Amino acid sequence: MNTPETNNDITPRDAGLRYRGADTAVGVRPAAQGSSGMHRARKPIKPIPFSGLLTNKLLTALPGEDFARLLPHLEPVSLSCGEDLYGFGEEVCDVYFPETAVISHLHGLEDGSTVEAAMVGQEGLTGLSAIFASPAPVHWTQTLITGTALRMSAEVLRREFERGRAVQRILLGYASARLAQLSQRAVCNGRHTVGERLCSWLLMIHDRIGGDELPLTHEQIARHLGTRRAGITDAATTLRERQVLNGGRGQIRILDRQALETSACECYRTLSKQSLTTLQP
Amino acid sequence: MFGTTQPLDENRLLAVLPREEYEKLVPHLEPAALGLGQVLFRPDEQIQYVHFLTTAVVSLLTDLEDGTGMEVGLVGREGLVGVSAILGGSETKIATVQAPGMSHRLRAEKLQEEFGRGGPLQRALLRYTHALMTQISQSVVCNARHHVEGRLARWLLMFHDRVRDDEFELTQEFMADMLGVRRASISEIAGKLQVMGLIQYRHGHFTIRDRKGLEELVCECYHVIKEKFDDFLPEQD
Repeated sequence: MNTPETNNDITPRDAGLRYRGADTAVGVRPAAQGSSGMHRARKPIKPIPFSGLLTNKLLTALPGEDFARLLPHLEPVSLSCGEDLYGFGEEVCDVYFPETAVISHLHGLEDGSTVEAAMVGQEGLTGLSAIFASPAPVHWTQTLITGTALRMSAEVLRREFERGRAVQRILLGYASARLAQLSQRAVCNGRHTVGERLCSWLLMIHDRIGGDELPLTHEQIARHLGTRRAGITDAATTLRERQVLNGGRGQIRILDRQALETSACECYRTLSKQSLTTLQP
Repeated sequence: MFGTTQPLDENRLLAVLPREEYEKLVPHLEPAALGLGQVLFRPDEQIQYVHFLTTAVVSLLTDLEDGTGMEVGLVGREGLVGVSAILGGSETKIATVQAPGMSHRLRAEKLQEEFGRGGPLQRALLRYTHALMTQISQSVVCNARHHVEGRLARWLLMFHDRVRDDEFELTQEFMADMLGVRRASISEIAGKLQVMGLIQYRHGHFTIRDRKGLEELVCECYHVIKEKFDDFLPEQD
């Protein structure tokens, strides 16, 4: 609230570099790690020094002065695959802006199966329900791909949102993109084959992590796509035979991205087209 | 207190607003009669009007390139058609009237202006947007996992909640989109529910005969959505 607003011409990238310096000065509290109980309301998630390179698209889209206000509240954290950020029905205290991490919103069904409804990477944030002052989500929020994120108190971001301006515009734009992702995936799950859906999903991850190695087991993929593992194994085998991808246990390597795009359903194209337009002012 | 607000109260989103907020909006609301099959907007169209529905029911569909589509959400008197007017992104869905009836329409710019002020209207609209996200998320899950009979039961119950009439018409085209199946298989699927004595179905005309039975058959998604909407705005009845 009382953050000085003197750095009007600071750019997010500059600020990132400054932040790295600030980190060593202030020191990353090791107390937040582990189970000290110092931050009872917050998840004991591993803090890390900031890399200095800001990749989250919502944050880089912010004008310098807005970013400068958020900056002191952003805490770099490392998220590991399988880690729950919020459980089912749990109040959202913190929001996460993924950098290299990819986060899933997983729904659990009565029969024990799970389905991913939304995927959030460097294009977005997780914790919209708190910004929208809504009841806790009906999914649980879990790290799909190990990586880094910037964490921030949901309450602080909500207050920034209420000031209007760029923070509000950008977060609303992201909510629109999220609605688009959900709508597309609803129709996709109803209409497309497991093979097509697998390709679209892998491409979505590939775009978010910017590397060809996707640390994923067939079991994990099945839990996210809401299908049987055998179906995933069959589809992956076909793709391996066509040399679109290879990989063994718990690792998928994309060999031919073009071919993967050709094998994907239109949903991938539709979604990436939409996410390109969303952040433009 | 002045006893003139009855028609507006039928939309729960308007009903939840504090009196001052609500009175600020009233002069800008125009009653609109929505006809069956009327399209309120299509993807990438600039939204002119948003609709606070009262008796009409509108479905939100996502179309695929081959022209087949699928329903992803349903809006009735609990909500607003046109949230993308406040979100600012481009609209990706088609909004089609599935039950003719009335709405209170409002120019999109007026809504944006009021939304921009913050306060209770902004909060109610954001909460509604989140509730709509929850409804659509549940469609993602439901379409991946649930049997077509359970899904039909879900849409019938959601529809029934909104039209508040035991008899209604649904076109075959809409039903095909609703369930993501070919038109030819609709009679067969509806027939199963009819044999169980839950509904009566003839040429697109539905009669709900055993709502309790439908609630038992329906997939869990219906209850999740119901709970989420009830959380969002408690029933005022």
